[in-house]
Amino acid sequence: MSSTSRRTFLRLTALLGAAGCSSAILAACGATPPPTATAAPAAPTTAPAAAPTQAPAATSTPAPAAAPTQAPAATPTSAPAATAAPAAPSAEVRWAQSSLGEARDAVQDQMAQGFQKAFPNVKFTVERRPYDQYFVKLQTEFVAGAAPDVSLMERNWSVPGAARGMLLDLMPFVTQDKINRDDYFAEVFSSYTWHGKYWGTYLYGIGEAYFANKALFDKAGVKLPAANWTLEDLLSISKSLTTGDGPGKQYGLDFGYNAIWAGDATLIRNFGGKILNEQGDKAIWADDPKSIAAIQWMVDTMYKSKVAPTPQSTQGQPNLFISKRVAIEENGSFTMSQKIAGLKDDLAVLTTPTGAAGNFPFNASSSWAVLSSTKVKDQAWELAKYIGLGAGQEIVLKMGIPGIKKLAYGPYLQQFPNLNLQPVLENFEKHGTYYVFTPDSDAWWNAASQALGPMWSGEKSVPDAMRAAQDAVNAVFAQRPPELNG
Amino acid sequence: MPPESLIEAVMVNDIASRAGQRTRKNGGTRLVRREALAGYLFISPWLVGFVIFFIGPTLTSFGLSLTRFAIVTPPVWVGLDNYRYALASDPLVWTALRVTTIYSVAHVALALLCSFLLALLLNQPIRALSVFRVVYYLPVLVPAAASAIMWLWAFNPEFGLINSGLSYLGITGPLWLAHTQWALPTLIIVSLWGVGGPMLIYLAGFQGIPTALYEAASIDGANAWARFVNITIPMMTPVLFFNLVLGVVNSFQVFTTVYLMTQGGPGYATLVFVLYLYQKAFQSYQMGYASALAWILFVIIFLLTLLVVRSSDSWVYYEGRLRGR
Repeated sequence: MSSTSRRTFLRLTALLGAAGCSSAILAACGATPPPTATAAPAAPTTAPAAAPTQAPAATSTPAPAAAPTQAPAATPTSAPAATAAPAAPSAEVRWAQSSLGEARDAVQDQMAQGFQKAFPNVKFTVERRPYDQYFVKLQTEFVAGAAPDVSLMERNWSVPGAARGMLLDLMPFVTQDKINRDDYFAEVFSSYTWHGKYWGTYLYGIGEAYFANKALFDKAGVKLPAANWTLEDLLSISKSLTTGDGPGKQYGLDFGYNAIWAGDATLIRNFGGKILNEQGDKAIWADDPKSIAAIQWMVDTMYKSKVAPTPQSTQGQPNLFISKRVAIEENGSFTMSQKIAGLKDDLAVLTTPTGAAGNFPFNASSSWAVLSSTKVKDQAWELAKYIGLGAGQEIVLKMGIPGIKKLAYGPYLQQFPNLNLQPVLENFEKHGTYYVFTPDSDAWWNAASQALGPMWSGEKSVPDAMRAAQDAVNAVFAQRPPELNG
Repeated sequence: MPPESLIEAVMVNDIASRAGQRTRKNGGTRLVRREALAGYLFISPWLVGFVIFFIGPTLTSFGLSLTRFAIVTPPVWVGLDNYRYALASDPLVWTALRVTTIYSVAHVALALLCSFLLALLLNQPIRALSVFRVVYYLPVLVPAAASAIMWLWAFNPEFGLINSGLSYLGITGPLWLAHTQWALPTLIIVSLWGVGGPMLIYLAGFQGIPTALYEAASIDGANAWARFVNITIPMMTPVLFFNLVLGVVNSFQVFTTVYLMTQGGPGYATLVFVLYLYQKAFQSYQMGYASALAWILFVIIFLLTLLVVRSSDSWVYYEGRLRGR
């Protein structure tokens, strides 16, 4: 029996350890498999509620020019994306989603099952990733040649992504498939159109609305306002609903959504003002008296009439509206399920109040984009169409307002028999708008928010703070690298 | 150690020393070379990791700092433009440096003082000492996100615990994090929440001071203050030095609390350097510029650390070292 010396043993151990570690490290640095890829559900157990009559009338089937052999068989139907299937199995489609809570994950699972049922020949995998740093990771994957084919895309990522050549223009597919845009809310297409191209299909709408606590209205003897109420009505009602003082104070109104890209923008538009110029490369609001008047109105509700808490008062606090310390809250419709859970039958949803120049509620959505690096464009488009413009919208209405009008006015509204949402949806349809996005949206929003900070705390006047914000935003635009102008 | 083991150790040491001399003189014996190779093989996993995950990215970041790079688009060579712009044209760099310096000076000074005094108290023979030590160290174990939310709530100007408490005394509290003059001091106060870390190191230092020194001093008639000034403080200077270096390095890299609590606001009042770097990298996607900012920060921290280390000769007392050596 041969014996191994201690020295030889140690040497061999070191050699093996070094080789093992080196190969593991090199393997880790090499081509990586898709992160946390999970196979798409093969056997859909909960098929989407098929409501083909409520689906858009886009009847033509996809006829991809690049790969005609993979074109789905023509099957005219009222729910095209749900029923048209490519003729032959093809390469696998990777679908990247973000995980944003169990309810949304469940809806995304159902969409995956629905797509698999509608397109049994398309192989695809679902990759559910953390929301944090989602877009940065996506960019890294894109550079490494490992990007998914279809991905979640937020509005503030879409234009930067498109400007960097990461996304595929979906307009040719929309035209080719003769999708009838009249079946959809205008924002389904307009909010993801940049430089005349279409960069992503619809997830679900997050329209801006005003939420009211009916119990607090009743207690104060105030009637709920009509759908055509105005900003003057809002102020007057808020005064009636503001009671008490100190830590126990009840406010009439809270701008829960007062980010520069939503509530403020709506107020500015309702006053007839503008934040950026038409080209989206210059801030102009500090030179615009109507924009200043809009923000002054907002600040006055906090410091003059004192019907609304300042942003700093709500910082780190549980939601004041759900805590029943605020009677009316402005916010996105995506917060509605929380509010229903918190207030139950006391909740009412109101349209945005009209200003001197009109009523322009913010209405937009996240989207499903197709990455330009995809090798399976047609299949990726089918997936994006199914979930964003087709039968997937029948499933997503459990989470938010579907982009298809028939679905919104039908099954979506039927989910909330006690909430009078019809006028709110009509308001979105007639007046809904989205905000201008630029290749540097995050950077200039941050610059504007920073400069406006001293205004919310009362340290700076509204015109001074808006001037500082305008200068800060224009400084960001001045630094925009030329390649990001698209 | 038994005498024979001691002799054996001396002999082995002597042999190794002679072998080393031979190696240097003759280019190395086969045995020494093989042993050296085995040694390198043993440390190679760490070395490979160090090169790939530390040296590689470090050098890459320097290379990127000389380019305009937006992740997806190819880097464009710009030479020293990023550094020139940062130091000569970007006002926010100087804002961030000013804010970071104020934060660091205040935080390091207060944290060193508070943790020293706390450790001194917790070194006294009192009842339930372990409970106190655990309680004061506990905040270090609380995740930054959780403590940030708690402090946000506490410092809320209208509903927060602190202003509510002040109102009972008839004092109207400030706007804290929402006010440009108060936001940074508030963050400095919050940062003291984590003094349990250096406190623990001080505590270990206190307990390492030989009691014989105190006994001898007492016999010589030294009172408590004299013992503190002439024994405790000099003996603790190495620990103080350690905490000072770590404090400077860490405070210049402060990020999490600021990111979670103020995002640099209001009006850039709390814009610390690493947050600005983060914004440039992950909001503006200016990776080249962000890399240049990272190198500027590295140089600043390196110089400050060097200054502290150089100054230590004049104020740090090492028991086993003679003055002036």
